[in-house]
Amino acid sequence: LSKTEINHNQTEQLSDEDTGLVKAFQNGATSAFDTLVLKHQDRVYNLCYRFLSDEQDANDAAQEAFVKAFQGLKRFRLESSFSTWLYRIAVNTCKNKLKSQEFKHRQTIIWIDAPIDGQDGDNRHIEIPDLTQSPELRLAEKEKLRQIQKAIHTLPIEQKLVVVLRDMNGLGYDEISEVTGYKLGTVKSKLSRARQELRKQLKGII
Amino acid sequence: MTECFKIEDHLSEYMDDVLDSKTKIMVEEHLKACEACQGEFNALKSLASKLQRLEPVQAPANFLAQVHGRLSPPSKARRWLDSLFYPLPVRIPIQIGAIATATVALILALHLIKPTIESAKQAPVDQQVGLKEKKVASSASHEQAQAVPSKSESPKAQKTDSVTPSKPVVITLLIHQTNAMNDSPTNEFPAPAYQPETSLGKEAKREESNDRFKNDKGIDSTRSSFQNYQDENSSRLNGVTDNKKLAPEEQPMAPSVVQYDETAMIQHIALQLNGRIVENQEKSTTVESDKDNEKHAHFSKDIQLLTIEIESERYEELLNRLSQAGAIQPPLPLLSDSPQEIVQIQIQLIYEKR
Repeated sequence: LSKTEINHNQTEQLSDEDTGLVKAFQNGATSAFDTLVLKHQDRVYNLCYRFLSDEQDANDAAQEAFVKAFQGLKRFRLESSFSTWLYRIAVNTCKNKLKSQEFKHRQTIIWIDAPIDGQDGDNRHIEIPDLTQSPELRLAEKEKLRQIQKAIHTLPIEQKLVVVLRDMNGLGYDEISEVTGYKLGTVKSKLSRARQELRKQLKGII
Repeated sequence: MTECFKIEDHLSEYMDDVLDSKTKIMVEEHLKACEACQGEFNALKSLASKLQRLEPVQAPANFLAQVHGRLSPPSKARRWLDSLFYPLPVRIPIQIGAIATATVALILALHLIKPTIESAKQAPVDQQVGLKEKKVASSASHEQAQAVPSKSESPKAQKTDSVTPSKPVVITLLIHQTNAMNDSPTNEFPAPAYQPETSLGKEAKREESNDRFKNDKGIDSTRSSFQNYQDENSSRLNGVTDNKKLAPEEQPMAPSVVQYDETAMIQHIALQLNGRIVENQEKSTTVESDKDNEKHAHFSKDIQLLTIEIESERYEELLNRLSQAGAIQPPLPLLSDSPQEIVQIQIQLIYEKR
């Protein structure tokens, strides 16, 4: 099974658990929301980080997404899975952030100043180091990750969105369509263009 | 080549196995025949594989606590503040806010500084005249006037303007003296306000004064009594019994005597009106170079400060008599409507000597 398929199966299992937790919250068990946060925080944070390419913005957007979810959970009718609904909130939050002038200004500075993997910050988003590799190889791998993230960052918002949801978060086409609101054909074409563009940019690196 | 472009568009979907069966077969057949598109497909698979293998980033350890922090209701003050701005349809850029704030601050600062500048303009006048806060002067809320000597102004007795009521009335006399009797002071210096003279010179002046004030008996008597007083002093100080008999070229030049004569005259007039000199101070002597003059003449400046105390109701009369004696010239500084019992007058005598 590919990683995408594994993620999809996990999502289905989580969906059943999520439904129970959502119902519990709607019946007054507010602690159920904490469980939902702990279950989904990494996935939402990861989505926001890949989308915004900045830890601080990702953290802020992820928190904001959960706050919005908390405020709307009482009215959530379970017509889609909780995770899809949560992703939709997160995506819209990130899109709003991307459009803000403040974000654009900050992003310009970030790309000039420091590599995306934050050499002086915590390294929680870096791949688990392969100790069998030499330091030179690990450094080269780190640089490759930075180039990939930078290439994703340069994509148009719609292309970036579908490629992140598909290749990094393992969502299916239908789910991507549900999260983004795009038609299925649009999802396919945008994903195709996004991958071609990334391949061009990362030629010689991957 | 055209087919390659078509196939390239489907490679992403082919990789994800979301193509319909017909298109899928078409792509498979083309990939078998076209090495370029096969290479493109392999590269695409490699990219997707790499992206999928990227380790997901993890949220901060205190993420839940941070969410709780955001969920907690804001303070009443914060809600009130938010309510002030909440439905604003227009976002005001922070730069405009900053400019507006800076402008208001600048206006306020200028407004606050203004009185300081005005008071600073008055300060040097006090320092120049060398005034001291006096007991009587501080209690007397008089409208006072003072004159400041200046080279650009006439050396006649300076007219004074109203000053703060806590200061004594200040009158400045600029007196020009020359070492040679036949030098004409007006050639290089303006005419003095009160020209101290030798006894003979004084006689001539007295004659002139008599003509001017011949209808005023009181003034005549004042002048007459001072004439006797002055004659006695001149004889005593100069060691001459009768100066009237000396020719002008024989008159001794004694600036100090001239100064004492001036002081004596003022004292005499003050005593006649029950006033008194409470302070007689010689301030300083400086030597200055008149750079504007072609000859670059050097001259010294003696300053004498006489402080007189007199009843306020006799103040005007004192000034009149000093004016009639030629010591000061009108217009005379007036007191305010509610004068105090005792008035203090400070007369600054400035002697310039070439």
